[in-house]
Amino acid sequence: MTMEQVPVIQTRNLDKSYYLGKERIPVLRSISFIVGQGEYVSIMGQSGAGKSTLLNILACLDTPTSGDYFFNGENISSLSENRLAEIRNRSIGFVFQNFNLLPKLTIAANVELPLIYNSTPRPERQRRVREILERFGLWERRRHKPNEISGGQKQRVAIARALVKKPSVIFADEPTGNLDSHTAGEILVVFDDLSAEGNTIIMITHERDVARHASRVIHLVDGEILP
Amino acid sequence: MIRALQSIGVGITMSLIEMMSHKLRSALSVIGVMLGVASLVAMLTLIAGIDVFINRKMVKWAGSVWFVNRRDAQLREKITWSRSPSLRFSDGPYLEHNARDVRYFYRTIERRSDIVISGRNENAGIRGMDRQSMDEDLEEMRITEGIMLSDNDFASGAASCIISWELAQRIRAQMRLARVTDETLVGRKCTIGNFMLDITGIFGPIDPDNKPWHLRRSVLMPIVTMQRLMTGFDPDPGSVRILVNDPKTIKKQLRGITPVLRSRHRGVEDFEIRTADWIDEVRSMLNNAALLMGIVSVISLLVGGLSIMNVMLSSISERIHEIGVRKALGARRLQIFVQFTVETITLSCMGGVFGMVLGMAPLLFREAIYKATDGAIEPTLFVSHLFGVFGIIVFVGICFGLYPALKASRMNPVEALRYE
Ligand SMILES: Nc1ncnc2c1ncn2[C@@H]1O[C@H](COP(=O)(O)OP(=O)(O)OP(=O)(O)O)[C@@H](O)[C@H]1O
Ligand SMILES: [Mg+2]
Repeated sequence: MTMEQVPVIQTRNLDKSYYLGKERIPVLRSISFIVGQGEYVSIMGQSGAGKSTLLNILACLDTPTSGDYFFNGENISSLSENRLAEIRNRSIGFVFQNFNLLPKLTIAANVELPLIYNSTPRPERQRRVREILERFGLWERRRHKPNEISGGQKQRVAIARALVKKPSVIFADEPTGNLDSHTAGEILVVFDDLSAEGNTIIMITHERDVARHASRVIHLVDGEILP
Repeated sequence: MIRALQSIGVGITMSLIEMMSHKLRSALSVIGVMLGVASLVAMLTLIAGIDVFINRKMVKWAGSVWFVNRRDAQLREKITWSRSPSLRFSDGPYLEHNARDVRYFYRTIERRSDIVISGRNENAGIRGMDRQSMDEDLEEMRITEGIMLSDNDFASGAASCIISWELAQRIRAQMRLARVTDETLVGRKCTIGNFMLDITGIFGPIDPDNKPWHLRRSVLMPIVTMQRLMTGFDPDPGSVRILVNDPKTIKKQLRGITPVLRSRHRGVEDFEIRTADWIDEVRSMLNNAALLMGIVSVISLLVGGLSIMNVMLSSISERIHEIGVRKALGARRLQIFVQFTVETITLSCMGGVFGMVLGMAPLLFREAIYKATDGAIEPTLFVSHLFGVFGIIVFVGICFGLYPALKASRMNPVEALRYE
């Protein structure tokens, strides 16, 4: 590894176990891999393989039981809760399978949320929200509530919300899982575009043809990466 | 530091957005607090009303002690009793001088007697009083016809009197039966035994519902008049009424007063002591009522607090998933905490303000409540109570709201996100 290229993501022997009472349930076992700047990585595996668990750790939502995780060269395992929140806020965009828009807030307010949390000044917030909503053709819908738009539109709002803070990595947990195949195709095109612009993307998927869009596929079986 | 201030700002913004976008939920919690505060304020208003009654209305009787002649003497006692001059008018001034705890003696001589006005017979209580005692007795009366006795009448012992409204009514009823057309009484003579007094005025109650029994059928005259014309200077006054220094410890003070009177009666206790015991009874009754209301108030306070906590907790469990989303988007602990805390404070303050307004309702029905309770409760609101309650409920709101806020901010993002 050379000095000028710190990998965005580097894990060393990540383990994650859940405990049910005294019983230990290992979910991830010695996960070690590297993702470089601009890569489009797809994580595949069967249901229960530990994909979401891994992605949550990578997205700083969860912490590993043991092992080291370096995000942009910083060791996450030793960080405070507040610092983690800050990393999530500044450097990580997360797209969920079930969109997770806040139902009472308008589209614009949903997209604005991450910027409010990092205290971006209001005019700057409005400028960036407008920019991103226009890019996804959602500007006309800005005053609508999430339940007034289609699934594909919801997912585009969610992507806009993830992108608005210009993160260094975009994580997506089955972003097309709740969409029909046509709409799913459209969303995948969005990710292709983002990748083409140089964004780093890590996406979970079940489906092989979805994974085809990625530049690299990581196979997870029972919590371990297939070589 | 700057980060923290920014976080607080963000939390406040978020809570405002939240409250605006969940109007029904916000309204419900406001109402919960409002009812708590309102019932508390209303209760305090009523309790204060009782206190006012005890302190202002009853104080007149509270420190009074009446000495009256004992009439239940055994034959054996009668022999020793003959030593004693028995109860005299002059016992009053004597006590005033010689008993430390006697503040004041009501200079009053009382008799029952037949009277004649304009040829009509009636029976009435006849009372000679000094100016101060009479003024105090007539505090809730006014002169309805004629004029009050003058200072000069009191000083010179003029042969003048005033009579009560009920006595006047009875005389007039008799006049009507006898078809006497001229019903004026002021200016006529009132004959008591061998003496005739000029009637200068008639008094009656200011509040028609408040008619003290001892004044209903009575003739009042200056004490000097009574002494000069009817009883002599030092008669049996009927009763000797004194006022003790401290109304709260009558029994204790009497231990010093009674021996003074007994020694004047040459060691014979031929008098009975009457205090306004019923005042203590009424007082303790009212105190019990106040206590009961106090308990109800505390309960309503708890209910108010619990309703805040309930609303906050339920709104948090409603929003666990949302808290997860916010955390995934990078919300810091402090931001979430402030959001919920500000929401609690704002809602409890709003509820508090509305509750204060609503709680003042008894003041609107002041008259009605006063009447319905025979003057025992005169709804009274102290500003200190009002703001005290407000302070307490906001404090309770914050305390009960803090736990949910803390709980929300501590939530693990992954677990919160999994929650549906
Ligand atoms: N909080 C938890 N407590 C206990 N076990 C858990 C918990 N979360 C996940 N697991 C277990 O960890 C394993 C991996 O779960 P994970 O959600 O990562 O799977 P996944 O690969 O994302 O599956 P899917 O494709 O269905 O989303 C599963 O067996 C699951 O039951
Ligand atoms: Mg999953």
